[in-house]
Amino acid sequence: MKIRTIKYFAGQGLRGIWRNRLMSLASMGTIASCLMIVGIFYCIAVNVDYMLETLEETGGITVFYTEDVSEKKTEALKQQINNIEHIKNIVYISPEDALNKEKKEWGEYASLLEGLENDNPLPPSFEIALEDIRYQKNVVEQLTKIEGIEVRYLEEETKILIGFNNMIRIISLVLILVLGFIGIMLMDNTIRLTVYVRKSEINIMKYIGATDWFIRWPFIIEGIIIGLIGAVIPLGILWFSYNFITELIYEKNTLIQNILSFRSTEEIFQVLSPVSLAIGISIGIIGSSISIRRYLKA
Amino acid sequence: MIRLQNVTKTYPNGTEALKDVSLSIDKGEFAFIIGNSGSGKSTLLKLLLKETEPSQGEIIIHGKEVNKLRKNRIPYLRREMGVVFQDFRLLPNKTVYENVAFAMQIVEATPKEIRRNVPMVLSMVGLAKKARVYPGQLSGGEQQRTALARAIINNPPILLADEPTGNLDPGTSWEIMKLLKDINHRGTTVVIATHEKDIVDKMKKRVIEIKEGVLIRDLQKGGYNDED
Repeated sequence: MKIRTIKYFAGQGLRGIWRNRLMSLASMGTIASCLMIVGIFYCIAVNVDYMLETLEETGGITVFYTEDVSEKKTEALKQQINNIEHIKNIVYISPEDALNKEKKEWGEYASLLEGLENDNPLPPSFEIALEDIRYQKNVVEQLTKIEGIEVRYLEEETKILIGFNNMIRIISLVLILVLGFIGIMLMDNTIRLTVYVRKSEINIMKYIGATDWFIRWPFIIEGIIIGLIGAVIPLGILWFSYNFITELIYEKNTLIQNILSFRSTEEIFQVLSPVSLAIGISIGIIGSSISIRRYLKA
Repeated sequence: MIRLQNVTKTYPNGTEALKDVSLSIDKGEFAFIIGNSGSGKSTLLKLLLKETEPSQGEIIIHGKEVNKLRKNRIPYLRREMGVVFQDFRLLPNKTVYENVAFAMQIVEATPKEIRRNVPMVLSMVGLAKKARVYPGQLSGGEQQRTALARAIINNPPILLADEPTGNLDPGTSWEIMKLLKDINHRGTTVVIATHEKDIVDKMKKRVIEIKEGVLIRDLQKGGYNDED
């Protein structure tokens, strides 16, 4: 294919968009809203996943002594816990460590904890990190069999997060399928209008000896451009709102930063941008191919 | 150049448009295909353009068996044939120049070739001064000359014309016929489907008559009616 031919195709494609701009706008809007929803759900799903990961790492399970134990027994206990499957690692936290950690988390209110060093109410504990948060129940069951310790874990939180994560995945999949289908239908209609307007032209082109691909390309380019614009708009909106919202949450809630941590905007868009663009372009190509196929068959 | 062998065309609704037609037109010939509307003339042209397939028999154009041609080769078959229609079929939003240049763009000619050949062909059909005019502002004769220019711009060896003077007054019709004759003199095989008696009688060219799908007459230097 020669460059001037490509230029001709692109020119024809742009002209087609302009010629029925209302329909073009409608299909851009559909693709944009489809990808907006994809984007929103992706942002939520990724962050829920991220929080689950953080939970796994910070243990999710903490084991406290219910009675004073010697250091020798500590080693034995550690060994015993280590034998349980699906545990990634165990960290021993002495009462001093626990107090320091609390101070850190309390931030500017840490002064309230002063004076506790000599009469530390915090028991020594183990923080247990899991290979996967889904093993939490199993591991907890095993731990409760061990005597002399108390097991604490974020059971409700974990359950909610896992359930939320699954729900979001299902909802986003359904929405993507439905909106993608609507997008393709609208695109098919849009391009069909252009094809209809250019029907006599296509007919003449056929008589002069234009190949099917020569006739097809302008319409495919029209679809690609509409799909691209439909993908770029939600990406732009999401970029700004994601930045804005995460910063707002961090600013207002310095205390919960440890629990609520978000993926960076760059990390999100490294995946979201190519996926959105690919979906937008695919909807464009599929939609225009369907409508042009009918005319080329004749 | 063009050869039909025992060609029969029956449409799905049962109409027999052509019945066992055999004919051959040589390179450089000028032939009229005559017959009333519904006689099968148009079907014959459609078969040549591979717009429709024969039910039986074979069609050979330029040594290629048209019925065996794969679908993606059809455009290349059509590049061997310029076509002119009764209703001109020009693009209304393109100027005369652009309409003709369009045929060259489609075969991916270079801009240099387009700039050189389009004015040449336009002056040949007498439209050099109308290059920048849109079809809507042209007379019927001028529109048909534009269509002729477009049909021959890529130098096809065959020119097919379907009732080229059907929408024109007699004076203009003769101008178009003269042009077709000129094109034929340059070596192009010209095939014209028509039912205009005057023109056929005066041109004294080969006449192929089809009646109700049957080839009933094929005469060199014939007239419309040759009862005498």
